[in-house]
Amino acid sequence: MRAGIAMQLRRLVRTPSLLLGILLLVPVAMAVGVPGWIAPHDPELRGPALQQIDGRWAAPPYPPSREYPLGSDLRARDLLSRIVYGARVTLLLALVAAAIRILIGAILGWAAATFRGAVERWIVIAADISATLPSLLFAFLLIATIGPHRGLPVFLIGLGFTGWAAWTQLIYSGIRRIQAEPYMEAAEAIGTTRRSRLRYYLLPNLLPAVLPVIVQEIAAVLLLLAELGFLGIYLGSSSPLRLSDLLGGEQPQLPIPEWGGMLAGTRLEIFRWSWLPIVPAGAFFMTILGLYLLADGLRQQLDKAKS
Amino acid sequence: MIFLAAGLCSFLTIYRPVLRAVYDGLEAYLGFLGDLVALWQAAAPFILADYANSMLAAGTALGLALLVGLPAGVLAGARPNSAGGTLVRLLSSLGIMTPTFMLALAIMVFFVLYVLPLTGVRFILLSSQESTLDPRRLLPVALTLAARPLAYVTSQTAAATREALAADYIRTAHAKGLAGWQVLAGHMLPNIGAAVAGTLPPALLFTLGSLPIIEFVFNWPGVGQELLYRIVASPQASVAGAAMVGFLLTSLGMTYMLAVVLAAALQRVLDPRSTAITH
Repeated sequence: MRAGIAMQLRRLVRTPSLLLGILLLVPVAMAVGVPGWIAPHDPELRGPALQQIDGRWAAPPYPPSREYPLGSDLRARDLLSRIVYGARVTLLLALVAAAIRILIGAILGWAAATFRGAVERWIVIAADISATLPSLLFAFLLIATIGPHRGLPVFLIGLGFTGWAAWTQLIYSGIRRIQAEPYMEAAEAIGTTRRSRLRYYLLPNLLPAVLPVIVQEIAAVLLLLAELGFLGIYLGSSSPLRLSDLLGGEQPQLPIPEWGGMLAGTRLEIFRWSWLPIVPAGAFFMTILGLYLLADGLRQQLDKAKS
Repeated sequence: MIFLAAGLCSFLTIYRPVLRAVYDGLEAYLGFLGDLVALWQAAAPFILADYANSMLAAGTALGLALLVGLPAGVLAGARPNSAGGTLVRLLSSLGIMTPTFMLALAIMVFFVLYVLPLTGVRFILLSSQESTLDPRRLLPVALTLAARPLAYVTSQTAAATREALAADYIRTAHAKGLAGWQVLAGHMLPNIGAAVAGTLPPALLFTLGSLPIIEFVFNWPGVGQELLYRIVASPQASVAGAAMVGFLLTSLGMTYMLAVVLAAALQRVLDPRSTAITH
C-alpha cells in the first residue's frame, strides 16, 4: 500500500506539469469546498466609507493593503473574500456547461460512429459547421438576446450549446479507430453482445484519451465565462444587457459573488483601480492554467502508462 | 377527410385567426427578404469601412503570427528538449490559455505607460479620431490579436517539424552527409509547407473569434466591436438591427470560407501528393 503511494508520488514529481497543476488547483478546490477557512472576511461585509491611505483620506475602492490583501471593490468589500466565495458558483457553472457540451458532443459522435450513412454524414457536417462558429460570439449573441437576467438556464444554453463539435469529432474518430482494431473484430466474431463490447472494449480504450480533454473543456468554458463577464454578461445579472453595461463605468451589484460579474464594467478601470480587473482575471487565469497543466500532466501519465 | 380538414380550417380561421397569422408572418418574412437589398444598400458603406478596419488588424496579426510562429515552431520541433524549445512551447501554451481581454489590457497598459509616451501621444489607443492606419494605434491591436494564432501556428509547425524529422527521407539526407541547414532548407521545409498552410484557416478563426473583445478593449472601429454594440443595442428586434447583425456575421463567415478555399489551393500547390491521392 505504502509502496504504491510512494510510486504514485514519484510519478507525480516526475511530471512537473501535473504537480504544478495540482498545486495551482488546491487553493481553488479549497475555495470551492471550504471558503470560510480561507476568506479573511464575509464577502458582503462593507468596510468604512473613508479610509486613510498614505496619510490621505480616500474613498473605496481601496488598494491592496493588510486589511484588504487584494484590494476592495467600490463598496469597500474585500476582493479576496469575494473571489474565494465566488469560486463555487463560477466553477460549478463551468462544470455543468462543460458537462452539457461533452454530453451533446459524445451522443452525436457515438451516433455518427454507430449509425452510418445519412446520419453519419449529417452529424459530421453539423459538427464541421459548428466548429467554425466562434464560441464567444455565439454565446454572447444567444445570452444577450435572451437576456442574462433570466438566470442559469440561459447561461447553460449559451455556454453548453457551443464547443460540442470538438467532442463529436473526438468521440466519432475515437470509436471508429477502436472499431477497426483486431480485438474488436475478434470480440464481434465470438458473438459478444454490443453492450459487452461497449463495456469491456470500447469504453476502457476510449476513456483514457478523453480524460485530459474533459479537464481542458472545463478550462475552455472558464475562459469563455471570463470573456463574457468582461463584456457585461454574468450570472446574477438583474437586468437585460444594456450598452452602458458593455461600455463600463458602472460596477454591477452582485447578489452572489461570481468571477465573471466581478470583471463586468472594469475595462477602463485598469488605469485608475487596476486591481478591480486584475484580481478576478488573475483568479480565472490561475484556474485555467492549473486545469491546462493538469490535463497536460494526465496526458503524459497516460502516454507513459500506454507505452 | 377533406370536409373534416375544411371544417377545422374554418374553425381555426374564425375562432382564432391562425391562418391569418401564418399569412401575415409569411408576408412579413418575404417583405423582410425584399427589404434586405435596401437595407444592405443603406448599411454597406459602414459595414465595408468596419470590415476594412477589421481585416487590416486581422491581416497584420496573421502576418505577425506567421513571421514569428514559423521559425519558433521549427526551433521547438527541431530541438524539443532545448531551453529555447521549452520556452517556445510554454509561450505557445500561454498564448492559448490566456483570456484575450487580459492580454489586451496588459498590452494596452504597456503601450500607454511605456511605448506611446515616446511617440508624444499617450491615449491614442482609445481615440476614435485617429486613423486606424496609424501604427501607434494598429500595432497594439494586431499584437493582441496575434497571440492565439501565433500560439497555434507555433505548436502546429513544431508538430509538423517533429514528424518530418522522423521521416525516412531526412535520415537518408543525413546519411548522405548533408549539412544540417541543407537538410532543413532542402528537405524538411518544403515538406512541412502543406501542413503550415493547413494552419491558416484555424489561425484565422482564432483571430476572428477574438476580434469582438479585442476591438472592444481598444475601441477599434471594426466588425467585431460593431457586432457587440448592435447585438446589445437592438433588443427590440428591429429589422434594420437584425439585418445589420446578419450582414456583419456573414462578412466574418465569408472571410473564413475564403481562407479555407485559399488554404486548400495553397496546400495543393505545396504538396502535389494530396491532389494525386484525391484523384
